[in-house]
Amino acid sequence: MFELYKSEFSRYRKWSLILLGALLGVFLLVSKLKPILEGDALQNFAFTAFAVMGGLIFGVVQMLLHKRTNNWTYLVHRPLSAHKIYAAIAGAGFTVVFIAVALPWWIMTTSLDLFTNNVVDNRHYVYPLFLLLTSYITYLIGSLVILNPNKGVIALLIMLYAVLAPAPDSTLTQFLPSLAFVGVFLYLNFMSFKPDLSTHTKKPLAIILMAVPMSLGLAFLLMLSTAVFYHIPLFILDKHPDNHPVKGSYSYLWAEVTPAKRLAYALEGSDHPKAAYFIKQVELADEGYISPDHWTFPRRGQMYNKDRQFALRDSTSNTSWQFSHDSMLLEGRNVTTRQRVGVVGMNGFLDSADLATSADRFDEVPFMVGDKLLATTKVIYSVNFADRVLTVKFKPEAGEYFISRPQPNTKPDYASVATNKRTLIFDKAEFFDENILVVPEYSLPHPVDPANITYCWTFQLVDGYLFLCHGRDYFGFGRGGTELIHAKLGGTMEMIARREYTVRKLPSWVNNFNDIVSPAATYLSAPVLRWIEPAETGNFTFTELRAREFEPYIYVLMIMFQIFSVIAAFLMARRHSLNKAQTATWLVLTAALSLPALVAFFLMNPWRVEKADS
Amino acid sequence: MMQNCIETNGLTKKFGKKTALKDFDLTVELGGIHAIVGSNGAGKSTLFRLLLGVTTPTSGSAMLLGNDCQSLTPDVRGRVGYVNEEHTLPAWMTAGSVKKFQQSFYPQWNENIYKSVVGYFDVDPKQKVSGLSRGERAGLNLAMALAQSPNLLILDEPTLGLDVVARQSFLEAVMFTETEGNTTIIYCSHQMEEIERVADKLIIMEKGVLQNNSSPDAFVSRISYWIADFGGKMPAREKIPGFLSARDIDGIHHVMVADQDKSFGSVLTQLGATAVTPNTVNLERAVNAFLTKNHNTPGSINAGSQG
Repeated sequence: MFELYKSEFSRYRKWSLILLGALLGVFLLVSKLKPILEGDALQNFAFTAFAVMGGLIFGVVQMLLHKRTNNWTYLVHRPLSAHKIYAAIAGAGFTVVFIAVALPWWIMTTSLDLFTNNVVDNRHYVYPLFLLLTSYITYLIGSLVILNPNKGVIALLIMLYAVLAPAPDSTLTQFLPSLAFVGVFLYLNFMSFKPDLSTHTKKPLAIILMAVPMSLGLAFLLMLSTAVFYHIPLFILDKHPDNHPVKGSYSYLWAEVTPAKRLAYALEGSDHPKAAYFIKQVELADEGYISPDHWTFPRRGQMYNKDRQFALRDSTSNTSWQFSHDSMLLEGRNVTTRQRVGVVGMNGFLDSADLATSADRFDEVPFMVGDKLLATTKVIYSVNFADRVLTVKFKPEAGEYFISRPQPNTKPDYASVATNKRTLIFDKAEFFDENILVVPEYSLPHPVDPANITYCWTFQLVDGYLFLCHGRDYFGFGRGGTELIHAKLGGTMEMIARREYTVRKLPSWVNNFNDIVSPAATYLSAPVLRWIEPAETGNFTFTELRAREFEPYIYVLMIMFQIFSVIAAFLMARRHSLNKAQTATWLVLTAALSLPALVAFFLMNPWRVEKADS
Repeated sequence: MMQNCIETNGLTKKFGKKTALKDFDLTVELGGIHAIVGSNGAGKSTLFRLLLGVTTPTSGSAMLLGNDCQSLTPDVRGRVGYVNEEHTLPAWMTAGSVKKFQQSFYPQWNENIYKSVVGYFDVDPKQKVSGLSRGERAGLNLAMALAQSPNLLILDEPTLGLDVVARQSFLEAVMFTETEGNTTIIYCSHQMEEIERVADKLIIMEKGVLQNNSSPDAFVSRISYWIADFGGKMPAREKIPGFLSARDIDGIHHVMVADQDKSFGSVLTQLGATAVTPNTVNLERAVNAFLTKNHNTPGSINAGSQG
């Protein structure tokens, strides 16, 4: 087996080494332009795309080259079991991916760590592991596309969403999904790697492990299918609600293009005596917006590419202050000489990290706002580099913590931040001045759960602010609404009007098509994504999903699709002469996952039933 | 004690509507060189793929060295060598490293056989496989396949594309092994002179059906060649028993028939022929006549006087 591994690796060794050298060259070039460990969006995209596409293409090409009839016979016809042959091939594939994708990063990171004065934390060594796993996942999917006769294997790529999209809450949630996917896809490849590649997977476990993730991808595609049979035809007929906004619906808010008209729409039916006055006032008011929804704060040890800002910079002293997750201190360096110029801890400046006690170290990773502010979920600090002073700029009350990051707004000029209880508005100039402690000018208690608020429009009036908060689920699942609040100078609040929009822009069956075709797909995906990134409230928890209420006919449709899927799967299983275990597996899958599992059945079984005699 | 190295029963393989093999019953005994011939599309490669378990039969069964081809163990695979017409080898490796690589899988590797066979060809161990000539590659492949000391060696058109010298070396190597070792060889080729030289048994396939499985001499003895003067138009082929082919040369018809004895001359006479003369036929002509019997040609529409 090892000889086969060596042979297979030697086939790609030259190419992997070329890529290794090329990437090191790219790193060298980039490092001349900017700090290489600064995770800007373009850099992240480029390296992630390289890892994802590189792995996928390599997996496809490697197996395609083996799959040619004579090559395949040469590969499998040897005194080795199919599992050992695949282990050798996949092992060589892993080595290639390791050399081409992860090793350059480790070489670069280690070099920076050993030979430069840059901040290099353990987390910087973790990032290549993430790239390696991501690339190997796509490599395994690529090889599975070729090895398995299932025509829908490519739908497994949907699993990458769980790896790439969220900002994981811990190292466990960072790597557990990736490791699970590697395990599952390796297993599926082992099951698919057999002398006759045209035969379909028969083992119930393999069917389940293939069908479940495929069904999630297919559920997404089925949801998109509404474009084909609903949205596009209506657009062609010029009857789509996007072109003809539905009055009385939540989305009609955006049909009203001027703030005053929008406000008038939100105030429709209101008997507030000053309703007309507010509409008039808003005609001349500056408009801003605040999002009080939860934001994922940085966590200790998070991968560097999740950092929102690389460092605080002080142009006067030509220093750059970068936060070290290992020391939990802000470490300063001269930009030109790279000499260390001290550290900043929770209690202020220190000349050296060696002088820091545990009390000096931050207990949370702060995120940077502009060039002079640091914020954790408990405190907003300002840093005065000239005087080397760290001051607490603002601290919320006991039991209160920030759920959003500070958001500067222009016209009207203010800075806002949301806590778990309220939204605070500060004078912008004071907020960003490192020498001034700030108190909020306005404090707006959350009218509803901030997770239900998409955002609040703000209108500056002569006597305060008007907040027009809104959300698609403002009053609960699917119950879009608005709420108008007048925050007066001096701190008093008045709720002017609340409105729930009961008219739907789209029919419920279109809005909830994903739940209709597969209720379980949502239950399988959203809570897992929420577990990975708890602050992402757009992904409902299991409890939140259960609390949702649909119109009665939606439940009827869900049940009809499930019954249809089970019956169709049963009939197809008989037609394909599946054994009892396979039939039972498919019946359970279609009963649980409904239509996507039925589609998976068609993709995972031969389209033509071959009879011995015809 | 196992007597047959290959045994198929009712083996059928369909690709959609096309039937590649139909109710194929073949028994190949241990020992000797068994040649398989058949025109393109006869199902030879499909048969090999079924025997090696890389294709699943639509129905029927196939046994290789007494084992079901659908579940060949590594041990059985180690006892069956296979050389295809492309001489597939890792092109990125050197000849020496490929040999070392291949040797690692076969504990019974016979270095003497390897050296003897590879000696027929001028293979530089340091040369990359991709840089070897087709003949050198064939020689290296055959040497390795034989050095594995297989009980059964399947050679699928191994001399395709080889020049005369390489083909000569290849055949000598095959015959050397057959005499030296204890290997049953399945030799598939379109080259009749090769088959004539090496084959102990001749298996003929046509359109997925087994047509012959006997010694070449026995097969040739089935075919007879007659020259007859019909004085113009030859009778319809359906009237000629065992008809294989016929050619009209200067008004004289040359007729090949199968499974007819000496009394066939009187049959031709009864059909109106004068000056009927029996002739001998060699293996190549016999096989060609056999294979072209049902071969579609534009001329076959006028089957009365064409082969």
